[in-house]
Amino acid sequence: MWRWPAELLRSTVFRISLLNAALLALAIGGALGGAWFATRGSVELAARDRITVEGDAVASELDREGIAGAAAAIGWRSSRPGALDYLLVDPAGRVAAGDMTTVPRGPGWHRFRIPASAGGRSQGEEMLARTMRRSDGTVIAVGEDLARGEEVREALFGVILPAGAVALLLGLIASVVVTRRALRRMEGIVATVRSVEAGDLSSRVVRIGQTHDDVDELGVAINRMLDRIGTLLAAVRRVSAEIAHDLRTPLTHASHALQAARHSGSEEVRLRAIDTASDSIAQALRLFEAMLALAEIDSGEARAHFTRVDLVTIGEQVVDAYRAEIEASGRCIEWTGEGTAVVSGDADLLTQAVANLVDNALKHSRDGAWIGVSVNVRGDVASVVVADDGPGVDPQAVDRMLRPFGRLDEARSTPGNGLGLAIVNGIARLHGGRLVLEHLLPGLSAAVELPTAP
Amino acid sequence: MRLLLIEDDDAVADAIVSAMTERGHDVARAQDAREGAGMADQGGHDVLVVDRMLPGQDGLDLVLALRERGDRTPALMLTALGSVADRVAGLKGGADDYLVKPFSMDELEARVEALARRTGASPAQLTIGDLVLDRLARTVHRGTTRITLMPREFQLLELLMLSSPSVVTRTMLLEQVWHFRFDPGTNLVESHVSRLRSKIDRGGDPQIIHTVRGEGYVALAR
Repeated sequence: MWRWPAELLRSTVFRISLLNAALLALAIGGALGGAWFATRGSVELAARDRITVEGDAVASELDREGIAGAAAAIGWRSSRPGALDYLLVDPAGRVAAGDMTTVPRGPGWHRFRIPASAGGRSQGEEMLARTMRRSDGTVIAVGEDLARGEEVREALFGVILPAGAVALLLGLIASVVVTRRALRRMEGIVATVRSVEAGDLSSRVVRIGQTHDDVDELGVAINRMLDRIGTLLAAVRRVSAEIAHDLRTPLTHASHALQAARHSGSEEVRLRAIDTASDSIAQALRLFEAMLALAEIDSGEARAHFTRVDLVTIGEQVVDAYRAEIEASGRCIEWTGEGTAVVSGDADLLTQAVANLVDNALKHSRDGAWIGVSVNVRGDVASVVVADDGPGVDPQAVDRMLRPFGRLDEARSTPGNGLGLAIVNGIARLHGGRLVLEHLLPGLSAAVELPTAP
Repeated sequence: MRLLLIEDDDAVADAIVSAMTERGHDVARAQDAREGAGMADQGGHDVLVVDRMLPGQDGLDLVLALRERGDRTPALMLTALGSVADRVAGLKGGADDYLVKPFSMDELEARVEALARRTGASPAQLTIGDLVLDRLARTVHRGTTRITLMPREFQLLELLMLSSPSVVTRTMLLEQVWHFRFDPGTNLVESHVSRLRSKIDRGGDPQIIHTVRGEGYVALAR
């Protein structure tokens, strides 16, 4: 089981969520800081607007109604809710209205703090004020307590900041929980892999969720890989068993023959036994050679030596080579092919592929059967087709036939090492083509389809 | 026949030397490429049998070097793997034939004899007993009777008669008559030979094409 929190800190998922949280915190902090400074400017700007309007209004009162009128107007304005701070000083230097007595008297904009001892509404606050000095010496000052705007702003941020912090904390907790769950699922996968490593190939990842997320996908992919490995291993086991079986038969024959030779007094019997033994050993050697040939074909090494090869020439040669044997066996062979069908390939291997197909047709057809070999080009595909009117095969058995030692049960009684079609298939694939087996009703058609050479 | 065997593996070399000596051939053996080149340069060999994997040198390079010095002695390469690459390289690189290990001594002897014969002048007319094959006119007569053969049958007979009295193995026939560099595993050769026999041994004449069990065929007036 995993130990908290070392295991958690080591987990990639948790590290990523931690990084995410840090980035989120940075982003929220940046945005809030930006908003803080931006709104600070806007509070001052709005105050300036209001001060300008109020100042202009008081100035026009002064122009129309004189000092007394302006003082009355200030008194009235001060009584409104949210009122600004004012000061009106007459030319003689006496305060005519307002309580903002500490405002700087020079004309223009001022930022100043009203001392706490000064009294008035806004004592101790930071103020923004505009002082106007009229030509007759009258001073009008209008100011606003900046802290009033600030209070709103601070109240706002006072809510937003803790909310952000809570969001961050919740995010972190959520990611820890999710990570712990993901870790637990990962642990299941690791356990499966360990169990396979220890030799239990049937082990599978069992905790696959319904969400099809990446962890599920990993589990499914691992299960599929294990299935594939299982299939391959089964094939290897099967092939090993087939090889052992196919080798045991001739070697047992050889052994029996040699024992017979040892115990026989007759020279003639001995010679015959030796012949039998060497035939059996030759049969075993042929099987090894075919296996080596298949391995070599599968290695793809031959591709480096590909040349332009005409399938028509090859088909003709193979038919020519087999005609005597096929006719001697009471069957007939028919060749159809004209012009050229040039592919890029290895002439020896392609000859072997066609020969194997003809050989198969010969071995697995009845007496008097017809075997047809043809070469044709359709588009950019050149095919060699070997067909017969024999018993054909079960379409469902085709895959099995292409496997090494994939002999069908009914073919066990006929000669052959079970590698013929696997070799043809390998040669076709080596040349970038394929082997296609088709049921002809009656009979079987085997076609090697290859891309034509440009 | 005098053979020069250049092979570093003592077990393989001993087997070849004893088998070939028993069959009446003279075998000189070199253990590595340098010794082999020295012995080859002294001359007097009918065929060189060269392993491809010699310590420190590819046997094929040795043959190439000999060819560059004007030595035309036929060479048979022994290769460990029957890979296509080896085969192509071997035949392009100056070797005259190749044999994949492990091989039977019969096969080696037959191939070595075929190579030795290749250097001699080949006659236009081949005769064994009363069987006459004219290589220019491409006709075959048994006594006074003209025998009509298919082109492949003619080639088969020509090869057997050229090789006589040596045995031609099944593999050699497959390679040289049908260009099959693999074992088709059927009675393909047997069928052709029996068809050829039925044409030339008609009417109770003495048999000319003989089967050598486990080895191949030989054409002899016996």
